[in-house]
Amino acid sequence: MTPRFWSLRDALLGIAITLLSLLGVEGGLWLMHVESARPPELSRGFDPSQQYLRPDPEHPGNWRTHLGVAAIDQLSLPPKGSARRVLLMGGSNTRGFREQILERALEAGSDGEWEVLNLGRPGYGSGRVSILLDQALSALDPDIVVIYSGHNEFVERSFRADYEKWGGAGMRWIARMAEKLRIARVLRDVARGQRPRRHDDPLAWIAEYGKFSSLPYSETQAEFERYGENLRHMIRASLGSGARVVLATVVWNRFSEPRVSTLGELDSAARVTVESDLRAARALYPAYFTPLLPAEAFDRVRMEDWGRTHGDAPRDLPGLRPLTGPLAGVEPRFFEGHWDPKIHVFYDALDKLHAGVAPERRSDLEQAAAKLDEVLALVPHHAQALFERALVAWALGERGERVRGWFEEAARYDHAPRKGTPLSNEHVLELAAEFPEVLLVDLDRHFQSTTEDGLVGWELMVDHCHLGPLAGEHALETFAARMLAAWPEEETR
Amino acid sequence: MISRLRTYLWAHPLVWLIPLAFWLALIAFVLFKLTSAPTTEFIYDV
Repeated sequence: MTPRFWSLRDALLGIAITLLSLLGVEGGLWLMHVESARPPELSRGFDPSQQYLRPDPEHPGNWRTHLGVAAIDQLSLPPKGSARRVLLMGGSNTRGFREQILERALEAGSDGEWEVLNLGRPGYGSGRVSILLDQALSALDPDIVVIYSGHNEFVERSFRADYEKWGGAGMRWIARMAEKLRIARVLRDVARGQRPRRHDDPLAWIAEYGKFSSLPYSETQAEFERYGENLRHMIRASLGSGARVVLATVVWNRFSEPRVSTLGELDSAARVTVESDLRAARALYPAYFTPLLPAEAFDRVRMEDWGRTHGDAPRDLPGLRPLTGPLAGVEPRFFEGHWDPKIHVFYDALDKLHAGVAPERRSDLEQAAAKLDEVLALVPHHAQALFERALVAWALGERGERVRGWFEEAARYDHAPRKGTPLSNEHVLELAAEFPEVLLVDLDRHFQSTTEDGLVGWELMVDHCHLGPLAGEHALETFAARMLAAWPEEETR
Repeated sequence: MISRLRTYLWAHPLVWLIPLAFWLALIAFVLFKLTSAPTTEFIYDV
């Protein structure tokens, strides 16, 4: 018998068998309680037409987050009760804020109950925070929105670029449809489990940070303009929904080196001079500068280094400057758990930096400073040279405006910062001036008052942008105090 | 019985080609495309 390829009846039967087999597989997995550890990732937060907050079928009345994170991290948020509701929005720092601390601080200073919901998501920059906030305002009806966002603009830009490069709109739609199937999610997890984690691959880090190595500074400024626009949208949307807004500057680590510097429009002769001067300066640095100036991102101390499954036991760290101002007399605290060995190497180096250079090595560092000055004469906004100039001056015992200026400028002229900088925080300050009804908490300035010379460093931070446990708690107490002072009627409402 | 089924399937290939194509496409898509999608597990988590 000749095969019959073009038969509508056969095609319909084929489709029916497909659907039945799919139903059988999905039903079987459901009956056996086989489920992926990760939910559908739903466009990874970038698509305003997706619902990232949905009614929770397991807890009627609740809203459940549907974000690209492990299922265990999904939140089921209760309906609003009589307590005043505060909503925290931002990236991983915000995610790390402990809601109970803010609730307790608010309740201690007022009558009645407070409820703090935390929608901070790791890696989220202002673009995705803004999309999530739009949905949260209508679903969760907060009384106060706290926005602490500004470290992740280039994290988000990088992720968005990878995501869009991975597939066009059609491919992303197909992927979203496929991820609705339990069998696809389970297979995906099994296949991913066989692959080495990119996070542990130094080459992946080099590739990640190499993406922006030739980004012109005008692009950096444009990125932060978009950040300002996103914040403006969040403020307007929150005020429009009847919520009050707390807008904060973000706290960043002055002693963490910038990511991307470029030589701009220099001619080739000048480039040779700059590169040779930088090499000459580095040859004169003492050995302990090496951990302070890690060549690759993989070598840096990062937040996850404080929570390894194996590693060093925490011990008292050297290299900690005494805290001042509102934190005077308070001992810095860090995360409990296993620490990566590089933490101790780093803090030993920091200890030597703060102690100052030995007299016999002083002239070396003075020569290095002269070389860096030559570089900066040719490229005044070379972020890396500015940072190294600051470190050299600090090691030589210089304190005050000039050295602080170098640290600040190093961050400002970083072409692809992975932390807030003076540039991002200026947008926050401008917006606070534009919207007088918004409560500005200039947290970065506040933390400057807790550190020597206003240079926030590794006493309070656990990497380039993350607040340590002491700083995180203090930040929340500061938010509470400012909120109650600015809105006294909230005390007795 | 088996012989009759074989004859039927040979005469009506769409009945089994469509489900086969669907499952192969789904598995290939998941293994070769979905697993290579950027996830929030990498450096973006900062």
